[in-house]
Amino acid sequence: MVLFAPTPSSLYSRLLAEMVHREDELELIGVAVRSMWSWKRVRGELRRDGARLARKIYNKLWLGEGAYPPGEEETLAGLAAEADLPDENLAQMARRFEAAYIQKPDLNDSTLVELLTRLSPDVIVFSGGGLVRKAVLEIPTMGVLNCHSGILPTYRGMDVVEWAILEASGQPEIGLTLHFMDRGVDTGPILLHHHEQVREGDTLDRIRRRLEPQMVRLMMSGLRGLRDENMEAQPQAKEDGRQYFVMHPRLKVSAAEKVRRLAAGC
Amino acid sequence: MKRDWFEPLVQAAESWLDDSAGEAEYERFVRRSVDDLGRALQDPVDQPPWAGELQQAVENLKKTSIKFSESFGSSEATALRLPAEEQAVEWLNVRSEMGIVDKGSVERFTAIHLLSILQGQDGAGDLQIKAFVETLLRHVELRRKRCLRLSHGGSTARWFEKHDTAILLARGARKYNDLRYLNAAMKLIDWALPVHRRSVPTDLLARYVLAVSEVQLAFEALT
Repeated sequence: MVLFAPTPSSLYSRLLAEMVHREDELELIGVAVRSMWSWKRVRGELRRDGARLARKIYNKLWLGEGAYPPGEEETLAGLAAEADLPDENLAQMARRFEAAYIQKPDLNDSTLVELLTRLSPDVIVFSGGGLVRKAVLEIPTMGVLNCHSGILPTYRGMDVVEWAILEASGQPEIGLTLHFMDRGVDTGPILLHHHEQVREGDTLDRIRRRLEPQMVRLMMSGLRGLRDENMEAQPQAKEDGRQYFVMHPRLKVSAAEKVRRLAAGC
Repeated sequence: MKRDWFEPLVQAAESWLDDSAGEAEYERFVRRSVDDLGRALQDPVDQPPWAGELQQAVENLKKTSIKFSESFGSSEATALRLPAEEQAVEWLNVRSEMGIVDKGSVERFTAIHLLSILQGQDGAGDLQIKAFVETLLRHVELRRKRCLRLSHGGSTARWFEKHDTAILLARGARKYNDLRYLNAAMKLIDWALPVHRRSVPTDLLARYVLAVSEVQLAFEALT
């Protein structure tokens, strides 16, 4: 398999790389990372994330694992500690695993397409790095796997934890979906779901942090299922879900307030 | 949790990049704008065509947490003028085949025609309208501030179309209980606020105040 990553230091991507390496009969043969400082990327992410981009850069690139609250175990940092993840970036990990490593401003770059064609992976594991176009989607024999932070097919697109909470009349439909990517937005065939409940003392941030280590676990379950040939992806019907977009800050305040009420009633 | 002296800088960057406005800012804005527009309505005989829109905006705001006791305009003033439903259906049928968003542009009065059908009593065109509103929603969300370029028409006409689309999405959100429509309407009024902060009382300002009131009404009804 080949791993697609948003940055060389992404904790989610590093955990996936390490866990795949430790798993029998799964082999990481390549790592493709999106260059951080390209104008196209900054402009695209600024348009998509707006004011949130500053916080995202600060948390991911500056604070790193220090962004996680101490004492909160169900986080990516907690999983990294549990797995004794070496303090290496993806380039160093790729060297250790003797896997190809490439860094490009765009993961659809023709050089990368050539490399992927040569490597001919069964699966590309997508852990971030922007839109993946048709030429790349068609290379792996099984497909490109993505873990979406919402329950598909209902919640496609952005901020789906918040949307699910805001729209819920009772317990919100929050969780994760492991699916193969296609040319639509979160419309590809579904492999697995993970459902999450609102717990006492929860906030939106805490729910998101709790989902992150589950993304690694769900991805690994899917890879094992594909390896052992005991898992089959179920296609989605377009009309079974809706696409959601970045939530307005005022609606996000309402979602946060609703979580507080739900968490108080646990 | 590791925190350092960069935190205030990040907060400053967030606030600089944030193009959304809060409820308090909108309240200040609508109070001032309604006052300004109201002064232009002093003559009870010579009422401008937008008097009804201001009146409708004030009536909307009275139903929200932005409490208004004032009334403006004569009782005969007409609210937002919409084409007859049959005329709107005919207009839409012509455009159905090519789509309402063509090469990133829309025709002026698209939102007004959709509003007319949306408010129709029979509900027969619901599926078609939902598909059109969904198209507009995607267009607004993906193009963001560059949305709703007009195939024909200048800058003022484009702002009218943006405000009309915000009204359409806010009313659509209430009719179909769809918060995504409200989300897009809130963004549309946010992006227009800097343009109207210092604008003089005109028909465009009245339409914008109406759009803000419709969004506030939908926000309070749905959240």
